[in-house]
Amino acid sequence: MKTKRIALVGNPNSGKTTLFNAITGANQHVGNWPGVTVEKKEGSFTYRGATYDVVDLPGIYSLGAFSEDEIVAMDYILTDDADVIIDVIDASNIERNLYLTTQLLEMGKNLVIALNMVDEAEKREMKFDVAAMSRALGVPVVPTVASRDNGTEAVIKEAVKAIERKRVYQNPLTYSDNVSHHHEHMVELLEGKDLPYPPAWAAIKVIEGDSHVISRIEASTDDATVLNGITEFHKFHSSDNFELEIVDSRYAFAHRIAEQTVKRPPVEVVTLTDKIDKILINKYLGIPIFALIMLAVFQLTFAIGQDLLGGYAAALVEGLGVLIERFLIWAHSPEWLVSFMIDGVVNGVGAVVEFVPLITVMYLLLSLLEDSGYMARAAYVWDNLMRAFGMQGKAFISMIIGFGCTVPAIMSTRTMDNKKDRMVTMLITPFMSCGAKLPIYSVFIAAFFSDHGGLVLFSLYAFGIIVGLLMAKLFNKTIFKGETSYFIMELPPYRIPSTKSVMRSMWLNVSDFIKRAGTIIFMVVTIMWLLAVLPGSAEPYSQSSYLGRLGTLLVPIFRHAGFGTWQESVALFAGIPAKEAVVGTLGMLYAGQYMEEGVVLVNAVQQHFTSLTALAYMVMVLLYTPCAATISAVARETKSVRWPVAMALYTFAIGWFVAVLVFQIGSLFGFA
Amino acid sequence: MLKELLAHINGDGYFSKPLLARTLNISEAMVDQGLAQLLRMGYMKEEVSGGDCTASCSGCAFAAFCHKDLVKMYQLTDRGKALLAS
Ligand SMILES: Nc1nc2c(ncn2[C@@H]2O[C@H](COP(=O)(O)OP(=O)(O)OP(=O)(O)O)[C@@H](O)[C@H]2O)c(=O)[nH]1
Ligand SMILES: [Mg+2]
Repeated sequence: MKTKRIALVGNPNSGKTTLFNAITGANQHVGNWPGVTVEKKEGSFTYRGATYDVVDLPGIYSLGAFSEDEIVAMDYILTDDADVIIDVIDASNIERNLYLTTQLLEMGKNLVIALNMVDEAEKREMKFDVAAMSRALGVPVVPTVASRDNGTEAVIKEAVKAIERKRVYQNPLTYSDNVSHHHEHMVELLEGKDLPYPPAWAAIKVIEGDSHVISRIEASTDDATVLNGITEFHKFHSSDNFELEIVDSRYAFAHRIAEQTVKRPPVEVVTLTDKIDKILINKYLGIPIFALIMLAVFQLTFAIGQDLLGGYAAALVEGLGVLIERFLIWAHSPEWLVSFMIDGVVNGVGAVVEFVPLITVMYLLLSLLEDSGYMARAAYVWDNLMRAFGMQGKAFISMIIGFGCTVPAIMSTRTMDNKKDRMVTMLITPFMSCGAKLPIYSVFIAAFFSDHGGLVLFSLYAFGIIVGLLMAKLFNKTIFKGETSYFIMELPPYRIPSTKSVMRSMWLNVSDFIKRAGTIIFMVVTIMWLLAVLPGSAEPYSQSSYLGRLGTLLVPIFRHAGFGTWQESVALFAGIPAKEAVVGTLGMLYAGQYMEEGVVLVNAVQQHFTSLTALAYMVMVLLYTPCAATISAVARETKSVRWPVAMALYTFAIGWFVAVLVFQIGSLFGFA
Repeated sequence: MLKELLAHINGDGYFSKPLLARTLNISEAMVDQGLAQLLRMGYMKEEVSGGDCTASCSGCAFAAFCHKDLVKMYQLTDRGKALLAS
């Protein structure tokens, strides 16, 4: 006589392999994560003198052919006729596990249920009426704790009994009227055609449109009425929702069984998360709360990054400068080398490096917000606001990325399949103030607004966003008309930020900042230094140097904005290869000028600017032409020359216009 | 349950799984599965947000910033809209 076969089927991580090991005495790998068993494993055991084969299958959530594992398990269930299936259910997650059970019952499988992990379920205060469950499902149910070998004997006993009993096909599900109606016809069509499956089940799978099962049916017969019948049915009902209705009947069945036979502790109707969300994403409060949170971020950034730690970084750079200078003089280095190292590298690149603490604190705080789940709420709140400006939710993600760096922000628009949304987002992301601009603001804030650092910084960022939104509206009204796509957002649960991911995210930003200082900033400052000390006939760092002559050319453009010296103009020019170079160039030029004293950049800025011109300068920096990397990213993404050029020009125009406006209106009101 | 789930998901332009589970009186695992079913059957689709920096970007200096999975976004397909309208 053929050895009887028992198959273990169930959801991933429900304890099938543990049960398999307990039954067979084998030592298969178990793991506390889904997907441990990816192929079927076989073993055997003897019970009352008879030997039985046992098959352990990969875990599946449903009987559909969706993933590799599911196909392995499903093929086994469809083809190899096990004499009995032990359906291993994770009791602590009963409702979801019952979906597969429902499908097995629907197939008419000879079933024994191992209600496993009842220990876990009891911890969650769940109580099971096993007898009622068994009655409602029409199959034996045995509670087990496979990991402690509890109930294993009873499962074996029931399985052996079930093998002898042989179940008759009987489907416990009721389908929607619509489905039932078609089911009758389909059964008529399939009846008596010698298919490998019970006609009633095959008919349901055909109506459901399960391609895996359908192709098996089609392969097993060449009866034209069956083949045509199936094709015709699908042609005719392509827009019907049969699959959804059938799936729903299964859920309804599983839900009913769980309701009738499982007692769970009552759940809180309104949780704390709901209450918090009610406020955070409120139509009117959402944006003000976001603004307050960001203001706090900027205040803290200054308080910790500048006031508390900034001094150390500055001292470090200064100390290093003194050391390098002494060394160079001691080594009798040529004068040009001393000048390059001290004015160019220490005062230029060093001026940028001094802001590492500030950058670190800012990105630390932003990463904390992100990781806590708040940023998802912010995205939702912003989505609502941005719709008013004709933009879609994904644009907010690009904007957030833009606060770090504009280049990836431009690239992130790739995920928008609406061309119009994509172009508009690309054109406005440069107004989101990137990390490279932070050192520039910081110098001017330290020079003129040190009492209100956070507030000024916040206002700049906010102003950038406002200009971006207004431009978006303008573009939508003029060049890019059309529908915007709308999205539904999933709010993740709040959580305590994990140190690891916060540190990782912060480090990405900070290390990039440092890397840039060492590479591109160093290069730009070197070029600027060369231009400032050449030609040899000219006084270094003076207006007669190449750099001085270039700056003098630019002066008339900026005169109306109040910053009309050649150093200030040429620094803006240096900001086009990389924004930090604005600070680097100012640092180098002022240091070169006041060589004797070795002035601190902030003091020099105080001598050359007033608070009004400083403000106009910061606004210019915020809005004017983005860096070269951004412009070339736009060129790459749009595969055109027109758009990057247009972007470079229109942002410059806006920056210039607003800076002039700030200076002129300010002067009018008597500010200086 | 699925149609109801879809209607609730579509409701306010946002949803959260725990809240859905409570309003529909099902477990969160069920919401997960229902959502997966709706996606699989093509009533809604998940959108990629942020960067799509896969292998092609790995050489890029900015690749590290690119992928930002701040929030999962979905869209109802025409099929989903038709279902809700019916
Ligand atoms: N508390 C408790 N844990 C159990 C029980 N049964 C199994 N486990 C644990 O649950 C985890 C998963 O068990 P497996 O046997 O690997 O689950 P599986 O169903 O084979 O998983 P896949 O092969 O991935 O589908 C392991 O850590 C087991 O130790 C039980 O009754 N109670
Ligand atoms: Mg396993």
